This record gives sequence, C-alpha cells and structure tokens, in this order.
Amino acid sequence: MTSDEAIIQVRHLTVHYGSTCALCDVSLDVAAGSFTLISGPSGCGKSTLALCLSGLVHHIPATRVRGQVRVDGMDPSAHSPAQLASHLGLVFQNPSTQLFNATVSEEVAFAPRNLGLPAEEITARVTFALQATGITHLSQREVRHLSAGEQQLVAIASVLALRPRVLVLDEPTANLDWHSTERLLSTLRRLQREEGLTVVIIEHRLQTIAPLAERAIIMDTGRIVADGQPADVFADKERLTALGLYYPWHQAEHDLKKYISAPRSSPPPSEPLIRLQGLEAGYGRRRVLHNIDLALYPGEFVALVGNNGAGKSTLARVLAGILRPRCGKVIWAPALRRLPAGRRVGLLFQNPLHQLVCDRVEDEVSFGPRNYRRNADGGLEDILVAADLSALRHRRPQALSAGQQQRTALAATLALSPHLLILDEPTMGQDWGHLSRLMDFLTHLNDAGQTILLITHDYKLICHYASRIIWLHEGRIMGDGTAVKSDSGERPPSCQTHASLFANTKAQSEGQP
Amino acid sequence: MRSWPGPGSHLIFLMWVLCLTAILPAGQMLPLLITVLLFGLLNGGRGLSPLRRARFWIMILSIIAISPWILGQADEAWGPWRLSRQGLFMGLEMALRAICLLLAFSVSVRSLSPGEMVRLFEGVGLKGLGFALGVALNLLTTLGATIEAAYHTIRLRGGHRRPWLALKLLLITTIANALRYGDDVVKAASARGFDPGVQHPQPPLFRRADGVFALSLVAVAGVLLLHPW
Amino acid sequence: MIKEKTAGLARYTVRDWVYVAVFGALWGAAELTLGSYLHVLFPPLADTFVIGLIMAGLGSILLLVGRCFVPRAGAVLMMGIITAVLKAFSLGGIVIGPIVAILAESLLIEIALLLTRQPVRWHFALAGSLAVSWNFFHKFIMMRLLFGKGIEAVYLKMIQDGSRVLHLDVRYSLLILLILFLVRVAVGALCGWLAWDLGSAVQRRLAPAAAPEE
Repeated sequence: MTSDEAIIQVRHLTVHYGSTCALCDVSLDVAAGSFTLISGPSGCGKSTLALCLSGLVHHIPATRVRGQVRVDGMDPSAHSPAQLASHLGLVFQNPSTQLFNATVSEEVAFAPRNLGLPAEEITARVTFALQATGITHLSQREVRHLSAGEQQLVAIASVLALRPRVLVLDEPTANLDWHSTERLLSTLRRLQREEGLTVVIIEHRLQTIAPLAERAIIMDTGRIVADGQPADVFADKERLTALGLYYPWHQAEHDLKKYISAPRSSPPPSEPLIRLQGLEAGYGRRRVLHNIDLALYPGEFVALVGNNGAGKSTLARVLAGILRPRCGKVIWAPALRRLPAGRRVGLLFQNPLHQLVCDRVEDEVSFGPRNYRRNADGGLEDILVAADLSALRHRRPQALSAGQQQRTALAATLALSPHLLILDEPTMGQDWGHLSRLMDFLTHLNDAGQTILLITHDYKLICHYASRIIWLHEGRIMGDGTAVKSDSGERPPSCQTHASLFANTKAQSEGQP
Repeated sequence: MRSWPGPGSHLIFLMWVLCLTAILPAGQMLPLLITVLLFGLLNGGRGLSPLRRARFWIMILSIIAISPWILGQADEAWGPWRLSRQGLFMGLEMALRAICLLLAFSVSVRSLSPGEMVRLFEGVGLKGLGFALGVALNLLTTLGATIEAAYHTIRLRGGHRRPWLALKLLLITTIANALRYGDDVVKAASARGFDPGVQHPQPPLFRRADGVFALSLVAVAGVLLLHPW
Repeated sequence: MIKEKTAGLARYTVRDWVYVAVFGALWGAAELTLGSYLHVLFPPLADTFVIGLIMAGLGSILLLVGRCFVPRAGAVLMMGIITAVLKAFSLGGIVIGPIVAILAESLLIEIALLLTRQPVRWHFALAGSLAVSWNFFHKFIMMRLLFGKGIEAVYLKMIQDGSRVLHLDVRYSLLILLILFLVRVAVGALCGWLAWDLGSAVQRRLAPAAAPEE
C-alpha cells in the first residue's frame, strides 16, 4: 500500500500520559475502504490510538504527543474535533455516554446541527444514517428506552450523519449480547461494502470480529507486535496466549441447549445451600422471574446463562437478598439463616468500579470485616496474597487496571467468607488474560469448597469452567444440567471440540418452547 | 416537532393562567378552570394526571373541609357543630385557584416532550443547558445503576453498621463514578462537533400560530374580567 | 450565520455543561428514588419537615460538591434547573412543590456563592444554611401561591385555636417556629460544611491515575 492509497497514516507516534508511555513509536497505514481489527491486552494503547486519530488526545490534560497523524488528508493536531468529525467518526464502548438527545432522530441530527448545516441537508443526512444502520423504525423512539444494542446502532448512525470516510469503534460490543453483537457487525460490514467506509474496530472479542476483518493488528505496551491477515496473525497461538488474547479456532455454539447435558440422576448427598420454590420477582409492575424452582448445593460451580433480559441479574439479586420476591420461598440451609445477607452471599456486580468504595486496596478488603467486627487484620494478609494484591495494598483501587479492580472487588467480597459467591457478568472490560487469571482463581476457590454462581453470556467461560449450567430464558428455567467432562475427568478443553462433548439435551419440561 | 401547540404556546398559556389567578375575582375561578381543562384535553390529557393522584385530592379536600370551621362567622348549624357558609365559599375559591395553578403548570410542562423542552432552552439562547438536559436524561438510568450498585455493595459488606461512614462512602463513590461517565460524555460530544459557545440559527420559539393563540387568550381574559359568571 | 458569544454562560466549556448535567442528574436520581420512597414511608403531613429536610440537605450537598467541579457563576442554578426538569418528567406527573423547592434552593446557593469569587468552607456553610432554610418557608409560600390570601387566615386561626386547646401562650408558637427555623439553618450549615469535605474527597478519588485505561 502506498501512502497515496492510505486514508490513515501514522508515523512515529508517541504519546505520554505524564511519565507513562501509552504509545511508543507507532507507525501504520490503513487503506481506504478496508476493515481493520486492532486488539491487544488492556493497557496496550488501543484506545489511545483511537483518541489520536480523532484528535481528542490533545484535549487530555498532561498529555504529550509526538509524531504525525493524517486522517483523510487532515492533521488532527491542527484541527478541532468538530472539523475532523466529518472525516473520522468515533464510536465508544458505552452507548449511554454517547447519547445527548431525547429521540433517535434528534440524536442522529445532533452532529449535523453542530456543524450548522441547512435544515434540508440535516434531514437528508438523518434519513441516510437511519437507513444505513437499519433503524429507521426507531426514529421517533426515546433513546433512553432502547436496548444497549439499539443504542449502539444509534451512536453509529449519529456518527454516520456526518458522512465520514473513516469509522473507528472502540470496543463497541463490550456491553452487548451475542445477538446484538451479530447485528452490529453485520451493519458495519454492509457499511464497508455499500458505502465504501473504512472501518477500524478495537476489540477483545476476536471470535466474532476476526472473520470479518481483512487485517489484524495486535498491540502490546504501546507498540504494534503483529500486523497482517487475521489468519496469519492468529495462527501464533503462543503469542496470543502470552498477550492474554483468546481466539477459538472453532466457532462457539450459540445454542445454549448444546451446552447442557442430561440433568443429574439424583441430587447431591448434601443439603442444598439455598432452595428457591415457586419464586416470582420483578420491578414495579414488571414481572421478570416466573415460577423458579432451583437448588444450589455446596461446592458447585454453576453458570447461569441466557440472553440479555432473561432475568439473570434479577435472580442474582433475589439470591443476594437485595430484591424481595413477590411470591414463592427462598430457603437457606438452617445453619445460614441467621447470618446477615452479606455473610451468606457475596455479589460481584458487572462493573468493578461501582463497588470500590474506599481509597486504598487494604481498606477496601478490610471494610466488610471491620463492619462485622471480624478479625480484619488477621485475614487481610491471606486475602491480599491469594488475590495477588499485596504489592498494591496502598494503591487507590480506582487507579488500578480493570483486572486489578476486579480482583480487589472480589477480595473485598471474599473477606466476609460468603457461602455463595455470585459474579454478574465478570467479562465486562476484561481481556482474556485477566479474565482467565480471575477464573483460575475462582477455580481454586471452588476446589477449596466455595460455591460459585457465574452469570454470563460468554460461551467460552461456560466451556472452560462451569460444572453445572442453568439456562434462563424470559424469566423461566429452560435447562439445568451438568457440563459433560472428557474421558480423563478433566475440565473440557477450549472450544476445539469433539461432537461427544455435547450430549443430547434434556431440558426441564416445563415452559420449554 | 408537532405544529401546535408548541413550546411557545405552552409558555404563553402558563403565563396567562398565572396572571389571571392573581387578578381575577373569586367568582371567575370556575370558568378559568374550565379553560385549563380544555387546554389540557387539547394536549391529549397527559397534563391532567394530577387529577388521578390521591395526594392532590387530599390537599384540595382538606382546605375545603377545614375552611367552614375556621374562616368567617359561624352561621350554619350542622348537628352539634356550627359552621360558616362564608368560610365554605372561601375554601372553595382557594381550592379552585389551587387546582387552576397546579393543572396549568402540569399541562404546560407535562405536555412538552423532552425534545421540545431542549428546543425551548435553545430557543432562548441556552444551547448548553438544552444539551445538558439531554445528557442528564440519558444518564439517569446509568447513574441510578451506579448508585444502586454502590449502595448494595456497602450494605452487603455491613456498611449499615456504620451509617455515617457508609453515607459518606456512598456519596463519594457515586459522585466520582458519575464524573467518570461525564468524562466519557465529553469525549463523545466533542467527537460529534459540539461547541456550546457557537450558536447556530434556531427555528423561532414563537410562531404565527402562537401569536394567534396569545390573542385568543387575551380575548378570553377580557371576557372573564368584564363578564362575571 | 454563526454567532459566537463570549459572555456569560457561553463561556462554559463542554466539560462544564456535562458536569452540570451529571450533578443535575445525580440530584434528580436522588429525588426520584429516595424522595418517592420517603413520601411512602412518612405520612403526608410530616413530609415538609422530615422529608423536605432530608432532600433539601442532600440537594445542598450535591449542588455544593458540583460547584467544586464547575466553579462558574450560574452553574448551581443550571444544575437546579436540570433537576427540576427531570423531576417534572418523572413518572407520576408534575409535583410543583418539589420543583419550586429545587429551583429556590439552587438559586439561594447561587446567591450565597456570588458573595465571593473563591469560596471557602464558611461560604459553603452559609450557602447550605440559606438553601435548607427555604424548607421552613416552602410550605407557607407554596400554600400562599396556590390558595391565595385566604390561607393566611387559616394558618393564623389554626395557631390561635391550637394555643387555646393546648393552653399555651401564642408566643410559644412563635418560639416553636423559631426553633424549627434554626434547626434548618443548622442542618443546612452542617450540609455545607460536609459538602466542602466531600468535594475534596471526590477530587482526591479522581486525582490522576495519569492515564485512561488504554
């Protein structure tokens, strides 16, 4: 590719945040009309590169930028973000932070209005953008009432309304389930083919995006370490593993029934930790869970799976005692009934940042034991060592990496020795390297007897870790059984599967479609 | 945006009702209330929702019930009690005035969509405030989730046993997380070319239909003032 | 024709407006959740004192902390307008009383902070006490606005009859009212004082981590 054909040109780009080098002498060209995937472990500089392309990096305090960037012939350092917006559109991870208006049509018109375009031109661009993203039917809906996937499509449409030639997306599927991800990616593919858009997508989730990409770039510690066709780049499994990236060579099965084998022929010999009988729960007038009958036994590692809106988080809240059921029973084992809710259940929310409330890691971990007047100092060291946080004990939890934050929140939860540990979608914002370390830690806990309920729509977690899978759909349990183990008795390998790994499905009879 | 009644008409109507409740004699409150109800029905009835709320009627009926006992000279016997007819009429007048004001406010504001409210602010030169309102509306759900997560985290970890510390930590965590979201919003808005200091020509807030409506209201006011019921 | 304005609110940056939105949304979220919950918890006649005091105090804290992050004239009033509009769009319809209270409190804080360019802790305490003291007058003013002059006679008669029934001098009623007023002033001052510390704590919590995650 010659410089003339490249719509993005980066030469010796170096970015420092304070004394930290976020990008170190990065050079690359991106061809017009191409579909490029940029990946790498958390903190490798992917998002910084996106900010450099859009010119936003120059608005971050204490930032030093050296090198040259040209996007569609424009130098981002010499133009305002408003001037660049009609050349490069940037879509971020969290749709709710990219929406500034009440309705979809107003949102899509926002950027053209900012440029002072005539009313007729604005209308034409809105129409184009809505049609290009396939959301014309949503034009009069209020954006705050849309699903995350729909909101992300609105964010893309609002950027497209400026008719940029380049679209950069920074982890756009992080908060989306599989269906929404597929829809978003097919939209991007269509935009690339039909509109000639240059697409640059930054993602951890290689499985769904890599087949669409024409080029893959892997970054690490601010540098490009691999660049080429996806098949070549992802063939180096050792490098991927070392970087904490996961690329399953076999397409994961998205039919949840296939992950569940026959239910147990008889319940475990121990008394259940908790039993739900005829449980119904919801919010306001909306009923989310319908007639749930479920028992969790000590020492189980259970995956609770289902699409967005199935009721997984609602069930977690009921188990944690923070949502009262409307009817039915929640029966704890007799020995646990007198314990406070936080000693019975440890609940890890989706975003670790939301549950880091103290200013130092050791304060965070000791907060719970101090409140309950347990031996805060004695257990603190053990937990910090187990969670690999000893060196970070005096650091601010909020200043740590996503993986370290996750471990801190987990350590703070485990400090109270809960009998049931619930993790609600722990994959958010995590690369596979961090996530696999977290999951290995959980496996170690489970081997020591900790009961774990993992809520996820990430199929590779199901493959690797759960011994029992409960499938929730529209508030009802559609399947409940054990994951099949290989003949050696080991956990199932990664999704390079054999057909024998998926036995016939026998879902619960009631409510099965 | 719908053609009429738009934000301009709603603003005119609210000002009209506020002025008339201050200057109309007591006996003219009922026709004013009827006008308010008609305007509310013209807007699809959304603004008339206070009429379905128990608290609204408790407040109104309380004043009507208390007034005969407290106001005016007691001139009516009702069983063992002595009540004031004058007090009853004073109570009814106060109640009608309150209903007019509450419904006018509700009809004027509630009938506006969030987008029209944003336009209202932009129309009076407050572009940034209109933008901020849109951001706030869309962040409400996210902020609610962050508050909830922080609250339950603290509670599950026994924070309720040290309530003041728990409240302090809840506020700090919630505000800090909210501002982090805000920084993401700043990036996204900048990437879409938003600049609050640059004003582009906006569609006028008041249109011809609003002018006609204003004249109609002046005529109605004249009738109410000059021809008592 | 693009017109560039350089005065007043047009000097606000994108970050300023977003932070105004954030604090307006925070107070709005608190009003919508905690406010509704408290109204269910406490009987209607108790709401002004207990619920009103709690929400006024919380609102003052949020506005004053917001002022730490948007140190511009008018910012607090803008936050209050945002919250009032969010309250107006809340489920259940318009509740004019809280909307007036929100606007009045934010205006009073704004006025108090106009006294100085660089507020210190005492200014926050003054602003807080002014804002929360509105809570004392709120019910009377709202009733006067809604029901007109006649409501004054109702209140006076209730005080007189109440004093007679309880065999108390009317002056004791005034004393009780004064105590209730001073309680609000004290609570407001305390909220302002705490807001100063909270603002510093939030700034420390947000102090660079030097870089975004990537």
